[in-house]
Amino acid sequence: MDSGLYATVNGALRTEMRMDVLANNLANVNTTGFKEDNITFDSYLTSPGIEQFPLPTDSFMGLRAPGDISFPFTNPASNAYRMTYPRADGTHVNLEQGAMQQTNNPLHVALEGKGFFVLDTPDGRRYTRDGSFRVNPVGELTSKDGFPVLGAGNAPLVVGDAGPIHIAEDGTITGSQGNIGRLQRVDLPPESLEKVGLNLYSAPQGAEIAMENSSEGIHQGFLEGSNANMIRSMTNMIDANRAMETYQKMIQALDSMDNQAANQIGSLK
Amino acid sequence: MIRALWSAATGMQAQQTNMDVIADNLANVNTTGFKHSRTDFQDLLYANLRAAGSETSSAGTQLPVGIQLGHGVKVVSVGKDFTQGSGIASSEDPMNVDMMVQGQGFFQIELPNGETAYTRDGSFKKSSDGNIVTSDGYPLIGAQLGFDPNTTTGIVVQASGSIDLKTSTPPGTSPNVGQIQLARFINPEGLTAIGNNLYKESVASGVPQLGNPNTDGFGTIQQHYLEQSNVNMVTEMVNMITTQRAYETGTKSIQTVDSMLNAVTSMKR
Repeated sequence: MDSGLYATVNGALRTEMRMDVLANNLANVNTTGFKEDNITFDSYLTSPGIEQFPLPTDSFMGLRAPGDISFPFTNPASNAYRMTYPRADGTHVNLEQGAMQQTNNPLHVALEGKGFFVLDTPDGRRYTRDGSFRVNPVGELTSKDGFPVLGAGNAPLVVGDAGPIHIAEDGTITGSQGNIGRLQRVDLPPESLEKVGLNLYSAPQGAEIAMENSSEGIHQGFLEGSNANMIRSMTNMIDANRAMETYQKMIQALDSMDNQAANQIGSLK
Repeated sequence: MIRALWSAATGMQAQQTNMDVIADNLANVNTTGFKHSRTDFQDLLYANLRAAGSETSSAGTQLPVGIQLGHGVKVVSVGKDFTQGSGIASSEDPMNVDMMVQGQGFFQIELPNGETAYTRDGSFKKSSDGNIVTSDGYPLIGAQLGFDPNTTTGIVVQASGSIDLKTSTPPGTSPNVGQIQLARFINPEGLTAIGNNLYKESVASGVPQLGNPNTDGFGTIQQHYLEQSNVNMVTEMVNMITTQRAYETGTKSIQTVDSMLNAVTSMKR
Protein backbone atom coordinates (compact mmCIF):
# COMPACT_ATOMS: atom_id res chain seq x y z
CA MET A 1 0.00 0.00 0.00
CA ASP A 2 0.93 3.59 -0.38
CA SER A 3 3.14 4.72 2.47
CA GLY A 4 1.46 8.14 2.25
CA LEU A 5 -1.56 6.52 3.83
CA TYR A 6 0.42 5.57 6.90
CA ALA A 7 2.00 8.98 7.23
CA THR A 8 -1.47 10.50 7.11
CA VAL A 9 -2.83 8.10 9.69
CA ASN A 10 0.13 9.00 11.88
CA GLY A 11 -0.75 12.65 11.53
CA ALA A 12 -4.38 11.97 12.46
CA LEU A 13 -3.33 10.07 15.57
CA ARG A 14 -1.07 12.94 16.65
CA THR A 15 -3.95 15.36 16.15
CA GLU A 16 -6.08 13.23 18.40
CA MET A 17 -3.42 13.41 21.09
CA ARG A 18 -3.24 17.16 20.67
CA MET A 19 -6.99 17.37 21.17
CA ASP A 20 -6.65 15.33 24.39
CA VAL A 21 -4.18 17.86 25.76
CA LEU A 22 -6.34 20.82 24.73
CA ALA A 23 -9.48 19.34 26.29
CA ASN A 24 -7.62 18.77 29.56
CA ASN A 25 -6.32 22.36 29.57
CA LEU A 26 -9.79 23.70 28.95
CA ALA A 27 -11.36 21.45 31.59
CA ASN A 28 -8.95 23.06 34.06
CA VAL A 29 -9.51 26.74 33.24
CA ASN A 30 -10.85 27.27 36.77
CA THR A 31 -8.44 24.99 38.65
CA THR A 32 -6.35 26.83 41.22
CA GLY A 33 -2.66 26.78 40.38
CA PHE A 34 -3.14 24.70 37.23
CA LYS A 35 -0.45 25.00 34.57
CA GLU A 36 -1.40 24.17 31.03
CA ASP A 37 0.37 21.55 28.95
CA ASN A 38 1.70 22.02 25.47
CA ILE A 39 2.37 19.05 23.25
CA THR A 40 5.11 19.27 20.67
CA PHE A 41 5.71 17.14 17.65
CA ASP A 42 8.78 16.30 15.71
CA SER A 43 9.23 14.07 12.75
CA TYR A 44 11.32 11.05 12.18
CA LEU A 45 12.78 10.07 8.91
CA THR A 46 12.45 6.63 7.53
CA SER A 47 14.82 5.47 4.86
CA PRO A 48 13.71 1.99 3.94
CA GLY A 49 16.38 -0.20 2.41
CA ILE A 50 16.42 -1.87 -0.96
CA GLU A 51 15.52 -5.14 0.71
CA GLN A 52 12.15 -3.73 1.76
CA PHE A 53 11.15 -2.24 -1.55
CA PRO A 54 13.11 -3.99 -4.31
CA LEU A 55 12.63 -3.21 -7.95
CA PRO A 56 14.03 -5.14 -10.82
CA THR A 57 16.88 -3.19 -12.22
CA ASP A 58 16.06 -3.81 -15.83
CA SER A 59 12.33 -3.42 -16.11
CA PHE A 60 9.35 -1.56 -14.80
CA MET A 61 7.12 -3.63 -12.56
CA GLY A 62 8.46 -6.76 -14.13
CA LEU A 63 6.88 -6.01 -17.48
CA ARG A 64 8.86 -6.34 -20.60
CA ALA A 65 7.95 -4.60 -23.73
CA PRO A 66 7.48 -6.79 -26.75
CA GLY A 67 10.66 -7.33 -28.57
CA ASP A 68 12.70 -7.01 -25.48
CA ILE A 69 13.13 -3.29 -25.55
CA SER A 70 15.14 -2.43 -22.56
CA PHE A 71 13.70 -0.49 -19.68
CA PRO A 72 13.86 3.18 -20.61
CA PHE A 73 14.70 4.64 -17.24
CA THR A 74 18.02 4.77 -15.60
CA ASN A 75 18.31 1.84 -13.35
CA PRO A 76 16.15 2.58 -10.28
CA ALA A 77 17.56 0.40 -7.61
CA SER A 78 14.50 0.62 -5.44
CA ASN A 79 11.21 2.42 -5.17
CA ALA A 80 11.96 3.06 -1.56
CA TYR A 81 12.02 6.74 -0.84
CA ARG A 82 12.56 8.65 2.33
CA MET A 83 9.49 9.66 4.27
CA THR A 84 9.05 11.71 7.36
CA TYR A 85 6.47 10.68 9.90
CA PRO A 86 5.16 13.00 12.59
CA ARG A 87 5.47 11.93 16.19
CA ALA A 88 4.75 13.46 19.55
CA ASP A 89 8.00 14.20 21.31
CA GLY A 90 6.67 15.47 24.60
CA THR A 91 4.24 17.44 26.69
CA HIS A 92 5.67 20.50 28.35
CA VAL A 93 4.26 22.27 31.36
CA ASN A 94 3.88 25.97 30.69
CA LEU A 95 4.90 27.62 33.97
CA GLU A 96 3.65 31.08 33.06
CA GLN A 97 2.14 32.95 36.01
CA GLY A 98 -1.62 32.55 36.48
CA ALA A 99 -3.86 35.47 37.38
CA MET A 100 -4.04 36.44 41.07
CA GLN A 101 -7.50 36.07 42.54
CA GLN A 102 -8.25 37.83 45.80
CA THR A 103 -10.16 35.66 48.29
CA ASN A 104 -9.24 37.40 51.58
CA ASN A 105 -9.07 33.98 53.25
CA PRO A 106 -6.04 34.09 55.57
CA LEU A 107 -5.20 30.48 54.71
CA HIS A 108 -4.97 31.18 50.97
CA VAL A 109 -1.55 32.00 49.59
CA ALA A 110 -0.37 32.60 46.06
CA LEU A 111 3.15 32.40 44.71
CA GLU A 112 4.38 35.19 42.55
CA GLY A 113 7.12 34.15 40.20
CA LYS A 114 8.92 30.85 40.24
CA GLY A 115 8.70 28.06 42.75
CA PHE A 116 6.38 25.60 44.44
CA PHE A 117 5.02 24.83 47.88
CA VAL A 118 6.21 21.50 49.28
CA LEU A 119 3.74 18.93 50.62
CA ASP A 120 4.46 15.83 52.63
CA THR A 121 2.44 13.00 51.05
CA PRO A 122 2.51 9.25 51.68
CA ASP A 123 4.30 8.95 48.31
CA GLY A 124 6.99 11.41 49.29
CA ARG A 125 7.56 15.07 48.64
CA ARG A 126 5.10 16.62 46.21
CA TYR A 127 5.02 20.13 44.85
CA THR A 128 2.11 22.42 44.16
CA ARG A 129 1.22 25.98 43.15
CA ASP A 130 -2.23 25.59 44.69
CA GLY A 131 -2.08 27.56 47.93
CA SER A 132 -5.67 27.04 49.08
CA PHE A 133 -4.60 25.57 52.39
CA ARG A 134 -6.58 24.67 55.46
CA VAL A 135 -5.95 23.48 58.98
CA ASN A 136 -6.47 19.87 60.03
CA PRO A 137 -7.94 18.82 63.40
CA VAL A 138 -4.47 18.62 64.95
CA GLY A 139 -3.73 22.16 63.86
CA GLU A 140 -1.31 21.57 60.98
CA LEU A 141 -1.47 23.62 57.81
CA THR A 142 -2.45 21.18 55.04
CA SER A 143 -3.50 21.04 51.42
CA LYS A 144 -7.13 20.33 50.55
CA ASP A 145 -6.32 16.63 50.54
CA GLY A 146 -4.89 16.84 54.04
CA PHE A 147 -1.20 16.60 53.07
CA PRO A 148 0.83 18.71 55.52
CA VAL A 149 2.50 21.78 54.06
CA LEU A 150 6.19 21.72 54.87
CA GLY A 151 7.99 24.65 56.38
CA ALA A 152 11.65 25.44 56.28
CA GLY A 153 13.57 22.48 57.67
CA ASN A 154 10.84 20.08 56.44
CA ALA A 155 8.79 20.52 59.60
CA PRO A 156 5.00 20.72 59.36
CA LEU A 157 3.58 24.14 60.22
CA VAL A 158 1.37 23.99 63.30
CA VAL A 159 -0.92 27.00 63.19
CA GLY A 160 -3.93 25.41 64.87
CA ASP A 161 -4.72 27.46 67.90
CA ALA A 162 -2.80 30.55 67.01
CA GLY A 163 -5.84 32.62 66.11
CA PRO A 164 -5.70 34.67 62.95
CA ILE A 165 -2.41 34.18 61.18
CA HIS A 166 -0.35 36.55 59.10
CA ILE A 167 1.84 35.33 56.26
CA ALA A 168 4.55 37.70 55.18
CA GLU A 169 5.81 38.04 51.61
CA ASP A 170 8.82 35.85 52.41
CA GLY A 171 6.51 33.10 53.71
CA THR A 172 7.04 33.72 57.41
CA ILE A 173 3.88 32.81 59.33
CA THR A 174 3.05 34.71 62.50
CA GLY A 175 0.19 33.93 64.85
CA SER A 176 -0.96 35.65 68.00
CA GLN A 177 1.61 33.59 69.94
CA GLY A 178 4.48 34.70 67.71
CA ASN A 179 6.46 33.09 64.94
CA ILE A 180 5.11 29.75 63.66
CA GLY A 181 7.51 28.99 60.87
CA ARG A 182 8.17 29.74 57.27
CA LEU A 183 6.61 28.22 54.16
CA GLN A 184 9.12 26.20 52.22
CA ARG A 185 9.46 27.31 48.63
CA VAL A 186 11.57 25.45 46.11
CA ASP A 187 12.06 25.82 42.41
CA LEU A 188 12.20 22.91 40.00
CA PRO A 189 13.49 22.78 36.46
CA PRO A 190 10.44 22.51 34.14
CA GLU A 191 11.72 19.35 32.48
CA SER A 192 11.90 17.52 35.81
CA LEU A 193 8.21 18.07 36.58
CA GLU A 194 5.77 15.23 36.33
CA LYS A 195 2.10 15.93 36.89
CA VAL A 196 0.49 13.43 39.22
CA GLY A 197 -3.02 14.93 39.47
CA LEU A 198 -4.55 16.61 42.56
CA ASN A 199 -2.74 19.80 41.45
CA LEU A 200 0.51 18.10 42.46
CA TYR A 201 3.82 17.57 40.73
CA SER A 202 6.53 15.10 41.51
CA ALA A 203 10.17 15.52 40.61
CA PRO A 204 13.18 13.26 40.83
CA GLN A 205 15.33 13.51 43.92
CA GLY A 206 17.92 16.22 43.79
CA ALA A 207 16.03 18.33 41.28
CA GLU A 208 15.05 20.92 43.86
CA ILE A 209 16.60 24.36 43.71
CA ALA A 210 16.42 26.19 47.03
CA MET A 211 14.65 29.56 46.93
CA GLU A 212 15.29 30.79 50.45
CA ASN A 213 16.44 34.23 49.47
CA SER A 214 14.01 34.79 46.67
CA SER A 215 12.75 38.32 46.27
CA GLU A 216 9.56 37.06 44.66
CA GLY A 217 6.59 37.39 46.93
CA ILE A 218 4.12 35.08 48.61
CA HIS A 219 0.74 36.77 48.87
CA GLN A 220 -1.70 35.96 51.64
CA GLY A 221 -5.42 36.18 50.85
CA PHE A 222 -4.83 35.44 47.17
CA LEU A 223 -4.95 32.34 45.01
CA GLU A 224 -3.21 31.83 41.71
CA GLY A 225 -5.73 31.03 39.00
CA SER A 226 -5.22 28.55 36.19
CA ASN A 227 -2.94 29.75 33.41
CA ALA A 228 -4.83 27.77 30.78
CA ASN A 229 -5.29 30.28 28.00
CA MET A 230 -8.78 30.01 26.55
CA ILE A 231 -8.07 31.94 23.36
CA ARG A 232 -4.96 29.97 22.52
CA SER A 233 -6.65 26.67 23.33
CA MET A 234 -9.73 27.52 21.26
CA THR A 235 -7.55 28.52 18.31
CA ASN A 236 -5.53 25.35 18.66
CA MET A 237 -8.76 23.39 18.79
CA ILE A 238 -9.97 24.91 15.50
CA ASP A 239 -6.57 24.13 14.04
CA ALA A 240 -6.73 20.53 15.24
CA ASN A 241 -10.24 20.17 13.88
CA ARG A 242 -9.21 21.44 10.43
CA ALA A 243 -6.09 19.28 10.46
CA MET A 244 -8.25 16.25 11.10
CA GLU A 245 -10.46 17.21 8.15
CA THR A 246 -7.37 17.58 5.98
CA TYR A 247 -6.20 14.12 6.96
CA GLN A 248 -9.66 12.83 6.18
CA LYS A 249 -9.49 14.31 2.66
CA MET A 250 -6.00 12.93 2.13
CA ILE A 251 -7.06 9.46 3.20
CA GLN A 252 -10.10 9.67 0.93
CA ALA A 253 -7.92 10.78 -1.96
CA LEU A 254 -5.38 8.03 -1.40
CA ASP A 255 -8.20 5.54 -1.02
CA SER A 256 -9.73 6.61 -4.30
CA MET A 257 -6.34 6.29 -6.03
CA ASP A 258 -5.95 2.79 -4.67
CA ASN A 259 -9.50 2.09 -5.73
CA GLN A 260 -8.73 3.13 -9.30
CA ALA A 261 -5.52 1.13 -9.28
CA ALA A 262 -7.31 -1.95 -8.08
CA ASN A 263 -10.48 -1.74 -10.10
CA GLN A 264 -9.82 0.26 -13.26
CA ILE A 265 -6.23 -0.27 -14.36
CA GLY A 266 -6.57 -3.99 -14.33
CA SER A 267 -10.05 -4.22 -15.75
CA LEU A 268 -10.74 -5.75 -19.12
CA LYS A 269 -13.10 -3.74 -21.20
CA MET B 1 -10.01 11.43 21.38
CA ILE B 2 -12.45 9.64 23.65
CA ARG B 3 -10.13 10.85 26.42
CA ALA B 4 -10.67 14.45 25.24
CA LEU B 5 -14.41 13.89 25.21
CA TRP B 6 -14.40 12.75 28.83
CA SER B 7 -11.96 15.46 29.90
CA ALA B 8 -14.36 18.04 28.52
CA ALA B 9 -17.26 16.32 30.27
CA THR B 10 -15.48 16.43 33.64
CA GLY B 11 -14.89 20.14 33.07
CA MET B 12 -18.56 20.75 32.43
CA GLN B 13 -19.61 18.71 35.46
CA ALA B 14 -17.19 20.60 37.69
CA GLN B 15 -18.45 23.96 36.44
CA GLN B 16 -22.01 22.81 37.05
CA THR B 17 -21.14 22.15 40.71
CA ASN B 18 -19.43 25.52 40.85
CA MET B 19 -22.58 27.16 39.51
CA ASP B 20 -24.67 25.37 42.15
CA VAL B 21 -22.42 26.80 44.86
CA ILE B 22 -22.47 30.31 43.39
CA ALA B 23 -26.26 30.25 43.12
CA ASP B 24 -26.49 29.16 46.75
CA ASN B 25 -24.13 31.96 47.80
CA LEU B 26 -26.12 34.55 45.88
CA ALA B 27 -29.40 33.24 47.27
CA ASN B 28 -28.00 33.84 50.77
CA VAL B 29 -26.66 37.31 50.18
CA ASN B 30 -29.03 38.66 52.83
CA THR B 31 -28.94 35.70 55.25
CA THR B 32 -27.70 36.77 58.69
CA GLY B 33 -24.45 35.07 59.64
CA PHE B 34 -24.21 33.19 56.34
CA LYS B 35 -20.72 32.17 55.23
CA HIS B 36 -20.09 31.81 51.54
CA SER B 37 -18.70 28.61 50.04
CA ARG B 38 -15.96 28.17 47.51
CA THR B 39 -15.55 25.31 45.07
CA ASP B 40 -12.02 24.01 44.75
CA PHE B 41 -10.86 22.05 41.73
CA GLN B 42 -8.02 19.68 41.07
CA ASP B 43 -6.69 18.12 37.91
CA LEU B 44 -7.18 14.37 37.53
CA LEU B 45 -4.56 11.71 37.03
CA TYR B 46 -2.28 11.82 34.01
CA ALA B 47 -1.56 9.04 31.57
CA ASN B 48 2.18 8.73 31.06
CA LEU B 49 2.56 7.72 27.41
CA ARG B 50 6.27 8.32 27.45
CA ALA B 51 8.01 8.70 30.77
CA ALA B 52 10.61 11.43 30.96
CA GLY B 53 13.97 10.06 31.97
CA SER B 54 13.58 6.70 30.25
CA GLU B 55 16.67 5.59 28.38
CA THR B 56 16.77 6.18 24.69
CA SER B 57 19.97 4.33 23.90
CA SER B 58 22.42 1.89 25.34
CA ALA B 59 24.77 4.83 25.84
CA GLY B 60 22.49 5.98 28.63
CA THR B 61 20.94 8.98 26.89
CA GLN B 62 17.60 9.87 28.39
CA LEU B 63 14.34 11.35 27.20
CA PRO B 64 14.36 14.93 28.43
CA VAL B 65 10.57 15.28 28.36
CA GLY B 66 7.79 12.75 28.50
CA ILE B 67 4.25 12.74 27.21
CA GLN B 68 1.56 13.19 29.81
CA LEU B 69 -2.07 13.37 28.87
CA GLY B 70 -4.52 14.60 31.48
CA HIS B 71 -8.02 13.39 32.12
CA GLY B 72 -9.74 16.60 33.13
CA VAL B 73 -10.79 18.04 36.42
CA LYS B 74 -12.69 17.20 39.59
CA VAL B 75 -14.26 19.10 42.45
CA VAL B 76 -12.14 18.40 45.51
CA SER B 77 -14.04 20.39 48.08
CA VAL B 78 -16.72 22.94 48.67
CA GLY B 79 -15.46 24.83 51.70
CA LYS B 80 -16.99 27.60 53.73
CA ASP B 81 -15.06 30.79 54.16
CA PHE B 82 -15.51 31.95 57.75
CA THR B 83 -14.20 35.46 57.36
CA GLN B 84 -16.10 38.04 59.36
CA GLY B 85 -19.22 39.51 57.79
CA SER B 86 -19.89 43.18 58.32
CA GLY B 87 -22.07 44.28 61.21
CA ILE B 88 -25.37 46.01 60.74
CA ALA B 89 -27.08 47.88 63.53
CA SER B 90 -30.51 46.60 64.49
CA SER B 91 -33.07 48.06 66.87
CA GLU B 92 -31.75 49.75 70.02
CA ASP B 93 -34.85 48.58 71.91
CA PRO B 94 -33.63 47.50 75.39
CA MET B 95 -35.47 44.20 75.02
CA ASN B 96 -33.86 43.46 71.65
CA VAL B 97 -31.45 40.53 71.91
CA ASP B 98 -29.89 40.64 68.45
CA MET B 99 -26.15 40.02 68.76
CA MET B 100 -23.13 39.42 66.63
CA VAL B 101 -19.75 37.88 67.32
CA GLN B 102 -16.83 40.05 66.39
CA GLY B 103 -14.15 37.38 66.12
CA GLN B 104 -13.90 33.65 65.59
CA GLY B 105 -16.40 32.18 68.05
CA PHE B 106 -19.75 30.52 67.43
CA PHE B 107 -22.91 30.71 69.53
CA GLN B 108 -23.94 27.36 71.01
CA ILE B 109 -27.49 26.26 70.35
CA GLU B 110 -29.27 23.32 71.96
CA LEU B 111 -31.14 21.26 69.39
CA PRO B 112 -34.44 19.56 70.31
CA ASN B 113 -32.65 16.17 70.35
CA GLY B 114 -30.25 17.44 73.02
CA GLU B 115 -27.26 17.83 70.68
CA THR B 116 -25.35 21.07 70.42
CA ALA B 117 -25.22 23.04 67.18
CA TYR B 118 -23.18 26.15 66.44
CA THR B 119 -24.17 29.31 64.63
CA ARG B 120 -22.96 32.78 63.70
CA ASP B 121 -26.53 33.98 63.31
CA GLY B 122 -27.28 36.12 66.36
CA SER B 123 -30.79 37.21 65.46
CA PHE B 124 -32.15 35.81 68.71
CA LYS B 125 -35.66 36.13 70.08
CA LYS B 126 -37.24 35.85 73.50
CA SER B 127 -39.39 32.84 74.28
CA SER B 128 -42.59 32.97 76.32
CA ASP B 129 -40.82 31.30 79.23
CA GLY B 130 -38.17 33.99 79.40
CA ASN B 131 -35.29 32.39 77.54
CA ILE B 132 -33.22 33.60 74.60
CA VAL B 133 -33.85 31.36 71.60
CA THR B 134 -33.11 31.22 67.86
CA SER B 135 -35.73 32.08 65.26
CA ASP B 136 -36.63 28.38 65.30
CA GLY B 137 -37.12 28.44 69.06
CA TYR B 138 -33.96 26.49 69.93
CA PRO B 139 -32.40 27.80 73.17
CA LEU B 140 -29.11 29.69 73.20
CA ILE B 141 -26.94 27.82 75.69
CA GLY B 142 -26.08 29.97 78.71
CA ALA B 143 -29.05 32.26 78.20
CA GLN B 144 -31.85 30.34 79.89
CA LEU B 145 -32.78 33.33 82.01
CA GLY B 146 -36.35 32.53 82.96
CA PHE B 147 -37.15 36.22 83.27
CA ASP B 148 -40.64 37.51 83.83
CA PRO B 149 -41.75 39.33 80.68
CA ASN B 150 -44.11 41.53 82.63
CA THR B 151 -41.53 43.07 84.94
CA THR B 152 -38.43 42.99 82.78
CA THR B 153 -37.64 46.23 81.01
CA GLY B 154 -34.27 45.46 79.52
CA ILE B 155 -31.77 42.72 78.69
CA VAL B 156 -28.14 43.77 78.50
CA VAL B 157 -25.62 41.42 76.92
CA GLN B 158 -22.07 42.48 77.74
CA ALA B 159 -19.17 42.10 75.34
CA SER B 160 -17.92 39.39 77.72
CA GLY B 161 -21.15 37.42 77.29
CA SER B 162 -22.61 38.02 80.73
CA ILE B 163 -26.26 39.01 80.77
CA ASP B 164 -27.84 41.61 83.05
CA LEU B 165 -31.57 42.07 83.53
CA LYS B 166 -33.24 45.41 84.16
CA THR B 167 -36.53 45.15 86.02
CA SER B 168 -39.28 47.61 86.89
CA THR B 169 -40.52 45.82 90.02
CA PRO B 170 -38.40 46.03 92.02
CA PRO B 171 -36.67 48.78 90.05
CA GLY B 172 -33.03 47.98 89.45
CA THR B 173 -30.59 45.67 87.70
CA SER B 174 -29.87 42.04 88.49
CA PRO B 175 -26.38 41.44 87.12
CA ASN B 176 -24.95 38.23 85.67
CA VAL B 177 -28.14 36.20 85.36
CA GLY B 178 -26.64 34.32 82.44
CA GLN B 179 -23.28 33.75 80.75
CA ILE B 180 -23.00 33.05 77.03
CA GLN B 181 -19.98 30.96 76.09
CA LEU B 182 -18.62 30.82 72.58
CA ALA B 183 -17.16 27.82 70.78
CA ARG B 184 -14.08 27.90 68.60
CA PHE B 185 -12.81 25.24 66.16
CA ILE B 186 -9.33 24.55 64.89
CA ASN B 187 -10.74 23.87 61.44
CA PRO B 188 -14.10 25.65 61.07
CA GLU B 189 -14.13 24.69 57.37
CA GLY B 190 -14.65 21.11 58.56
CA LEU B 191 -17.96 21.93 60.26
CA THR B 192 -21.06 20.29 58.83
CA ALA B 193 -23.70 22.80 57.77
CA ILE B 194 -27.12 21.42 58.68
CA GLY B 195 -29.27 24.28 57.39
CA ASN B 196 -31.16 26.92 59.39
CA ASN B 197 -27.81 28.75 59.71
CA LEU B 198 -26.57 25.96 62.02
CA TYR B 199 -23.41 23.87 62.00
CA LYS B 200 -22.45 20.68 63.77
CA GLU B 201 -19.00 19.55 64.77
CA SER B 202 -17.34 16.83 62.72
CA VAL B 203 -14.18 14.76 62.81
CA ALA B 204 -12.55 17.30 60.51
CA SER B 205 -13.54 20.37 62.50
CA GLY B 206 -12.07 19.01 65.72
CA VAL B 207 -13.74 19.26 69.11
CA PRO B 208 -15.00 22.71 70.09
CA GLN B 209 -13.02 24.74 72.56
CA LEU B 210 -15.33 26.71 74.82
CA GLY B 211 -14.59 30.01 76.43
CA ASN B 212 -16.03 33.30 77.51
CA PRO B 213 -16.23 36.02 74.89
CA ASN B 214 -13.57 38.68 75.03
CA THR B 215 -10.89 36.15 76.03
CA ASP B 216 -8.32 34.19 74.10
CA GLY B 217 -9.41 34.98 70.55
CA PHE B 218 -13.03 33.93 70.97
CA GLY B 219 -14.23 37.36 69.94
CA THR B 220 -16.59 39.76 71.61
CA ILE B 221 -20.37 39.89 71.59
CA GLN B 222 -22.04 43.05 70.39
CA GLN B 223 -25.68 43.42 71.26
CA HIS B 224 -28.00 45.32 68.90
CA TYR B 225 -25.89 44.31 65.90
CA LEU B 226 -26.28 41.50 63.39
CA GLU B 227 -23.55 39.93 61.29
CA GLN B 228 -24.40 40.18 57.62
CA SER B 229 -23.75 37.46 55.10
CA ASN B 230 -20.11 37.52 53.96
CA VAL B 231 -21.12 36.86 50.36
CA ASN B 232 -19.47 39.40 48.12
CA MET B 233 -21.77 40.03 45.17
CA VAL B 234 -19.03 41.32 42.89
CA THR B 235 -16.86 38.26 43.51
CA GLU B 236 -19.78 35.92 42.96
CA MET B 237 -20.76 37.67 39.73
CA VAL B 238 -17.21 37.44 38.41
CA ASN B 239 -17.13 33.77 39.44
CA MET B 240 -20.38 33.26 37.59
CA ILE B 241 -18.91 34.74 34.42
CA THR B 242 -15.79 32.57 34.56
CA THR B 243 -17.92 29.52 35.35
CA GLN B 244 -20.20 30.15 32.41
CA ARG B 245 -17.27 30.67 30.04
CA ALA B 246 -15.49 27.59 31.33
CA TYR B 247 -18.67 25.62 30.79
CA GLU B 248 -18.90 26.94 27.25
CA THR B 249 -15.34 25.92 26.43
CA GLY B 250 -16.35 22.44 27.59
CA THR B 251 -19.14 22.36 25.06
CA LYS B 252 -16.75 23.61 22.38
CA SER B 253 -14.29 20.84 23.19
CA ILE B 254 -17.06 18.29 22.87
CA GLN B 255 -18.29 19.78 19.59
CA THR B 256 -14.77 19.78 18.22
CA VAL B 257 -14.13 16.18 19.21
CA ASP B 258 -17.46 15.26 17.71
CA SER B 259 -16.58 16.98 14.47
CA MET B 260 -13.20 15.25 14.42
CA LEU B 261 -14.78 11.88 15.05
CA ASN B 262 -17.17 12.67 12.24
CA ALA B 263 -14.19 13.31 9.98
CA VAL B 264 -12.72 10.00 11.08
CA THR B 265 -15.84 8.01 10.36
CA SER B 266 -16.17 9.55 6.92
CA MET B 267 -12.60 8.70 5.96
CA LYS B 268 -13.98 5.48 4.54
CA ARG B 269 -16.69 6.17 2.05
